[in-house]
Amino acid sequence: MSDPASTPVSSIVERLSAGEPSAAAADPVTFVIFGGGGDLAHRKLLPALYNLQLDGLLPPRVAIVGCGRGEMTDDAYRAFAKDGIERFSRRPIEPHAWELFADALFFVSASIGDDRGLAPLGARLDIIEHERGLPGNRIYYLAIPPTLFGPTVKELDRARFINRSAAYPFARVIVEKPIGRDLDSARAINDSIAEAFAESQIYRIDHYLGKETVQNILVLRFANSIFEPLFNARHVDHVQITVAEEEGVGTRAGYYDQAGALRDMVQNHLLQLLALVAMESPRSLHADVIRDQKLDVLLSLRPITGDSVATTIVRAQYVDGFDLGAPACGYLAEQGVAKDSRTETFVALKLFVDNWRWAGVPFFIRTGKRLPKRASEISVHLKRVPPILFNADPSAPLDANVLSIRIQPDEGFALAISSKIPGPRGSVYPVQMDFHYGSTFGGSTPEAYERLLLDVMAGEPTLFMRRDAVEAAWQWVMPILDYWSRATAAPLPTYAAGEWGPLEADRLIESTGRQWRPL
Amino acid sequence: MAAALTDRVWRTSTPATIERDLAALWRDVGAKGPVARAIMSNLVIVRAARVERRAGVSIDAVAGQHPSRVLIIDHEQATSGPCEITGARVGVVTYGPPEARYGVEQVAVRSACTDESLPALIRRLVRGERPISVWWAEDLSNVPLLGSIVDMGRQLVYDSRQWASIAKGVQALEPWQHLDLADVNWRRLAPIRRAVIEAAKIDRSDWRPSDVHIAHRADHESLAWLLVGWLASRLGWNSARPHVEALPDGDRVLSLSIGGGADPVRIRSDGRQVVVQHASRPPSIIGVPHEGEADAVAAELHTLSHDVRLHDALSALHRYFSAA
Repeated sequence: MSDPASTPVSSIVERLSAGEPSAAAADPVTFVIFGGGGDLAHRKLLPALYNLQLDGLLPPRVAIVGCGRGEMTDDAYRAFAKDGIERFSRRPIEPHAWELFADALFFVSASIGDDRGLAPLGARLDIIEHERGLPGNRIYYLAIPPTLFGPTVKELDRARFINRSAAYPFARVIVEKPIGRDLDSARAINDSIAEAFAESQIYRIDHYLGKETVQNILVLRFANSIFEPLFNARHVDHVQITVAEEEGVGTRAGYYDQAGALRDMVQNHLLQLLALVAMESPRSLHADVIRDQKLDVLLSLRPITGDSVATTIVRAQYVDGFDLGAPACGYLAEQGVAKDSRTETFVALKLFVDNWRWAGVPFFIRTGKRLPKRASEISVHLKRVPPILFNADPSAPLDANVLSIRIQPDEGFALAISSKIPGPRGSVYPVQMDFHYGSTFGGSTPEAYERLLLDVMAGEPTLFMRRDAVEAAWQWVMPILDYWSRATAAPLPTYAAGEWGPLEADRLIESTGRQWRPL
Repeated sequence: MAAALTDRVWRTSTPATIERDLAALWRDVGAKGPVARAIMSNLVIVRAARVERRAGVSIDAVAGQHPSRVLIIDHEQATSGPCEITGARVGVVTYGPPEARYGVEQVAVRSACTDESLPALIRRLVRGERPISVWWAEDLSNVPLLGSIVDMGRQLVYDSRQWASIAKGVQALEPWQHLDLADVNWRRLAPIRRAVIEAAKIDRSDWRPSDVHIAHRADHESLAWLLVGWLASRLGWNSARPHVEALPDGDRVLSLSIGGGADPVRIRSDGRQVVVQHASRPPSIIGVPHEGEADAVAAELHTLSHDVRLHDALSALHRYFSAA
């Protein structure tokens, strides 16, 4: 038996806490959601916090305060939260857990730019925190348009809501993408937040990083001896990353038409996935060690500049087609989209990570809207065996081994290998070793936001983007955006809704002797 | 929360044809549509054949969340002679929607064997490349552990809430400290441990056993003693024990007061929440995870690790009871 009493640890709290799981957030906290009456809070944040309550993972003392321009009573906010939970939570309302959760919910009407500023919020927070014995630890979630990040943070600072120097009581801020629409605006946003918050207090959410399968990439690579020795230019022929969406732009047309697929998906989600697949092994699981390694990948991306944009990147826009057999309108006919818009709804590109490990290995990335199905996958295509023995017949070449990591749906991974078909002929057939999260671990998987919000409460930043990584990604993307902004006369390829992108995307990869992996 | 159970098929089998019969069942199940054969581990469930079975944890619900090759051994101890299998059945239980259906295979054997001969049967039936978890579904303070089976496992799962005698239960586990012990009741104690840590943030004095008073509902005596074991092991208490008493039936599952002065920290659990109260501040409320018995067993099965805190708590209790 270990003998905690004989150790130099003197605090009774530390002795009792030794070995206890750190999954639950321990410090009392006030969670303030700017945009608390909005869609993100309704669909994601409040259901995620409720699920943490169901799992007993919220701190023993907590208040969740929605803040918005509209007028709403606490009871009305609780009804709003309940509606969101009933419609979007992965688990249903359980009366007792709901009662506890609802008791911690409040709403305050406050408006940035208003003469009163955040005074009403401050007064209400003081009362709530006093009544609930909360020490003033605060997490501010900016579920608001990026244009309001700066003014909101400035108001928070002006109202002295932020303690930048002391560790306790803490103040943390969570910001959602998009962080800027180009490098300059990203820097401006980061600068404005940095005026009030230290980098260690800023949590930039990319919800993809909260997905179980994305977290599993590091486990797959560094908790198994079989894969990591293969992850390099010697064994890997190429890598594909696909994030396909079946929906059109829907209610996001206003934002999306100003952004496009490169800004909306590639600059953040896809480059983050690429960084996890390509990073070197970190020396520890410390947040900044992992984030340093990811940053190295982003800084190693070969720039795509000038005319090479046209030869290595395909952008396209969907036109009339079908969605599950029903007619689906083209992008230009979507409500809220400019009739002459040249915004890309699809992008495919070939890129290289110019470091020793990945020298010469192409990474093919594609993402788009109104594709045939919702599917996100990373596939690592190993080199083919030499054309001898079982691969000697050029008319029937063996398939290469492929490690595919399914991010959504049907989370899991599979390894395609060749196997002998039973019988006297000695024929070889490609088979799958397939791992499904759902059937292996059973149960329902926590939503990305549950993990991410819990991490913020615990002060664990690994799954959040650091400023340098965000700006490195923008830095890499900017020459592409600049080229496109100049090439206004260049034809914009199209694809019918319900197809896997334009022919040009197929040609992009086929010109290298490879093909997109069917999904 | 498991995927919904969609189908279960069973057929009578014999020890010699179990694998063949299972293969045939899988073919039948597969004919109805794609199904993944899901096996994380071997789950050996030992039940005493002669014990009248109360409504217990649903094996199907556990297997849906921790897909395993489930081996149910209804065991009647024999004193000599060859191992007699008096009945065998095989089954496949499927879960989930048609596009993501998965199935779990179950083998149920009724046996009258000596302790020494039973492992040979189990060795035949387990998937050797998967870890073996033994789920002792009986009160192990009353139905002795079968050492030959427990020794095959990497993990021993049990629920000390069933124990008729805390001292005997602790004693029965003493030889098995090298295994990954997983007590479902220890899991129930987690929010209370969290509450005690909250209490320690309020009363920072060096707690002595006499400062702690624990009261428990009659059916949660083992929970109270696990708490004693944990406190003793963490705080280095040796022979002196805190005061433990039974409560009259009511809402409270367990309550404790901590602190020698006139103003102790009070903790109260009703099984749904744990409240920490002290005159100096508003109460802290810790939500008890909303999970059923099957959820809890499955969660323990998911965790293959040596929980030093539980082992230390059991060692402390063993010392207490040995001294008594």
